[in-house]
Amino acid sequence: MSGENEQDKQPSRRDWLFKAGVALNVAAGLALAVPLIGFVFASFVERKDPRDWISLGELENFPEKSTRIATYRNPYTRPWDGQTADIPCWVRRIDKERFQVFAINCTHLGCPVRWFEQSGLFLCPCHGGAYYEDGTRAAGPPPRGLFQYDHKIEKGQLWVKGGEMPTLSNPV
Amino acid sequence: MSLARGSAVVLVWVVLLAGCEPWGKPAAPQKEIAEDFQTLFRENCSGCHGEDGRGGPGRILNDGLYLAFIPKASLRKVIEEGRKGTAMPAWARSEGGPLTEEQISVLVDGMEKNWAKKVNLRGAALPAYEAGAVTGDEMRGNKLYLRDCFACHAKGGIAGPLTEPAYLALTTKQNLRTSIVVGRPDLGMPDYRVLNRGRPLSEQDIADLVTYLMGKAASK
Amino acid sequence: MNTLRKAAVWLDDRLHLTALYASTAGHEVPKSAGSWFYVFGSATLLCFVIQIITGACLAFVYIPSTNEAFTSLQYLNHAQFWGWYLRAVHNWGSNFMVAIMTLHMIQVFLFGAYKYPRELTWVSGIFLLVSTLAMAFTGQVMRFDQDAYWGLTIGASITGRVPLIGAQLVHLLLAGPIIAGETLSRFFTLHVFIIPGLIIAIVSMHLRLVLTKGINEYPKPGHPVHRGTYDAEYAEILRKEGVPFVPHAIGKDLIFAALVIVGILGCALVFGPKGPGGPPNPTIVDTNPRPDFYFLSIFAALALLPDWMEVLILFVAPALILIFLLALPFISGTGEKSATRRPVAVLSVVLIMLVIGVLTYMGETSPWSPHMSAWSGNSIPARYVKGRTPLQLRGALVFQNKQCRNCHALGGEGGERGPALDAVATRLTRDEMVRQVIQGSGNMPAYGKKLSPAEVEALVSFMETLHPPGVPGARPSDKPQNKLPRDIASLHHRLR
Repeated sequence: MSGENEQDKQPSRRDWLFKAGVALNVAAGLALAVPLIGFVFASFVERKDPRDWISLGELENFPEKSTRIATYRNPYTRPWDGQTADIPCWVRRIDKERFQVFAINCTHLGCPVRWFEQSGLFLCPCHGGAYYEDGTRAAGPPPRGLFQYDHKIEKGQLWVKGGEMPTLSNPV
Repeated sequence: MSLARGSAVVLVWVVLLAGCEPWGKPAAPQKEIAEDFQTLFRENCSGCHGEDGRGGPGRILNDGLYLAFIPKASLRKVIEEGRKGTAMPAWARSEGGPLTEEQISVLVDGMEKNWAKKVNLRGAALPAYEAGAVTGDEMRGNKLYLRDCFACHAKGGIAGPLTEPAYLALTTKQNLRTSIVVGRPDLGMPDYRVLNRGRPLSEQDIADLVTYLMGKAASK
Repeated sequence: MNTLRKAAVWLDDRLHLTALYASTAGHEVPKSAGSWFYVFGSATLLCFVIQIITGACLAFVYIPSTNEAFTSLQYLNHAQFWGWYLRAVHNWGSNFMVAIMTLHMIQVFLFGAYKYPRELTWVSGIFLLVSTLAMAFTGQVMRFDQDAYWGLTIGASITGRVPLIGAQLVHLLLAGPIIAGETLSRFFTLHVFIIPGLIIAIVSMHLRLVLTKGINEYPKPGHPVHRGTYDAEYAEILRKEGVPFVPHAIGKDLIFAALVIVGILGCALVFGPKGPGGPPNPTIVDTNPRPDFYFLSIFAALALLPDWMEVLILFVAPALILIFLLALPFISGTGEKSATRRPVAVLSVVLIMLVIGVLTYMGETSPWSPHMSAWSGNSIPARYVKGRTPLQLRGALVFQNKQCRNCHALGGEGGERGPALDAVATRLTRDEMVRQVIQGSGNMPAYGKKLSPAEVEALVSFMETLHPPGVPGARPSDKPQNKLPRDIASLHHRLR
């Protein structure tokens, strides 16, 4: 009896094997888990700017003192993106040189705002958010004015820095 | 017994499924964009021009005289580009509006086809759509206004005054000209054929009236 | 015969089938549990099985690629033999599943079945509730049409409100900076592999707990649960009136199950599949995104609540609700089970259902959304045109042209965001109308910059005619501070 008890207390070969086995599997599991987690949660690790300058076309497409819709192809696309990589935006030409480019997404919940020339308002179909022609909030639930793209004029064309869906934590 | 009933139920189902189109079966996909005149007119025009092209606050369109008066090209141009100085907006995509070339063609042709009819001009020549070289005489226009318009368009008259500066600021020469020529049969206003005490207004009369009214607007 | 029998005995010896049967289908339940109120759990499971079968079949044809998904849905609807019907069964199966699951949850709550010793059955049920709603949302994305696309933007925008890590979470949700190729693959994986796998695992635990801790006896008023005595009481109930689940208590479950199947198939046959709506092309901005009905109540709450409450409603409230639901069996794990002795419980269920019902109805009608084509498509009623002056008619044109109609109805047609204006002249004086139009207020934008003085004058003179015949217009108060200049041009200048 006492011999057996003593044997239990002594670190035996079996104990060692069990512990080594567990440790090995933890190590192997980590070796598997790290790339898996990295793969799924890449957005937390990889932080390169997904945006790039894209042309919206000739300046003549945008008459002065008017707001027109423009569409660009997202700068980084995959072959199977289909129509979803075509992103619309609203271009307001204030005068010859000055532009404003608004994201299509309402700042409340991202629904597509629509431009109404006559009343000079952008209206959102989801919860009735309204913005003035310069993008400032006019009425309804939006917490701020419309998101605006960085833009520049080069080679007679209007360029915007696009490539990311604007949200409140990432207003382009 | 229950087996028989069960198989009867199954049989009914099979007949139901095989025999007729189930209600829930989706119909063949439809065109995204409206292309028929009725729908296009109802969705885009009826707000101002009335449900059937008449009876709205905007110009009567369902009217033989109007459609005879306005050339098809002008009608198309007005729809495409709108009318600066009035409430008529531009509808063509190229002008920032919502409608395609084809949809505008459907509207122009549809109005022509559904609403144009032969008009009895009662011997009076139909004035040209756009004012020609005739220069209006403001003084004479004033007299004509008192003679031919004032009965209804006096302050407090059944149609209300035309001389209010805010009204004149929101209209154009062409607008006044068209109104004098085609009237508003749906609202009770007679057209140029009878406005001259039952006789037609001449090209000169119309020009004088328009000049007088626009002069009123300028003087304010 | 002898050989067959031998084979059966051999199989049972190797597979332990009779023992398995006795411990599952044959387990004893209180006779009182064979009630019509106890059929919802098995029916929810049945719905899940139908969803798995129809879902697997749909996956034979469906292509989870943003470029092909819409076409493959069209193919299912119009070309694949019985494709539309399977889509319809899958859609109605999900509606039935959410509805019956809700009934099951209400029944369990009202019958006190979550109390001692069945706390973990309830907790696992809450995880199933969350998983099922996640299935509903990801399923809506599978129907990759306009609503799905903009539903994703709504989801991403909500996620984007998370403090600090919002941007990364949006990337995680969308599998990239925008909704594109990988987004649909991600939701497909969630909808088809991960969440169903989770549901199967949790359902197994849920069922095992039902077996080990027994089905709740039909509660009797005046028999509260005590930790010390309940187990003995339950054993006594089983000893006195226990019956094997199969065949003595399963009859009503079977009948209800058949009714559910017939209901799903019938709805599928009569009402057909849902969508797909317009193609998932973001450049079509002429769209009116709405979530499926499970989420309409949240959609409505987001329109109705003030700004400062939105973060609370989006993140704090769901967390609190979840914590409360998970903690419920530990807060009130003992005491009365019968609904007749628990008025607060009954009232809360009625209240919650009423709130969800009203919000869903409001989400369906969406009175807060402007009617985008009212200004050009809803005509001015004839009675507001006849006998008006030229200026008033211009005003009616300004009313339409400036899209006032999109938010304000006339003659019952037009937007409901703002008040209907059929009798506006009885509420507002001329000066008040001018002020309201130029400066806006509350939920109305200011139109001062977009309207010329002449347009304001025309518009107001039209609005002054909007009162029922015989009812006089509103009269200005005599208080001097309310006096504004009569002349519109200077008024316009001052108010801007």
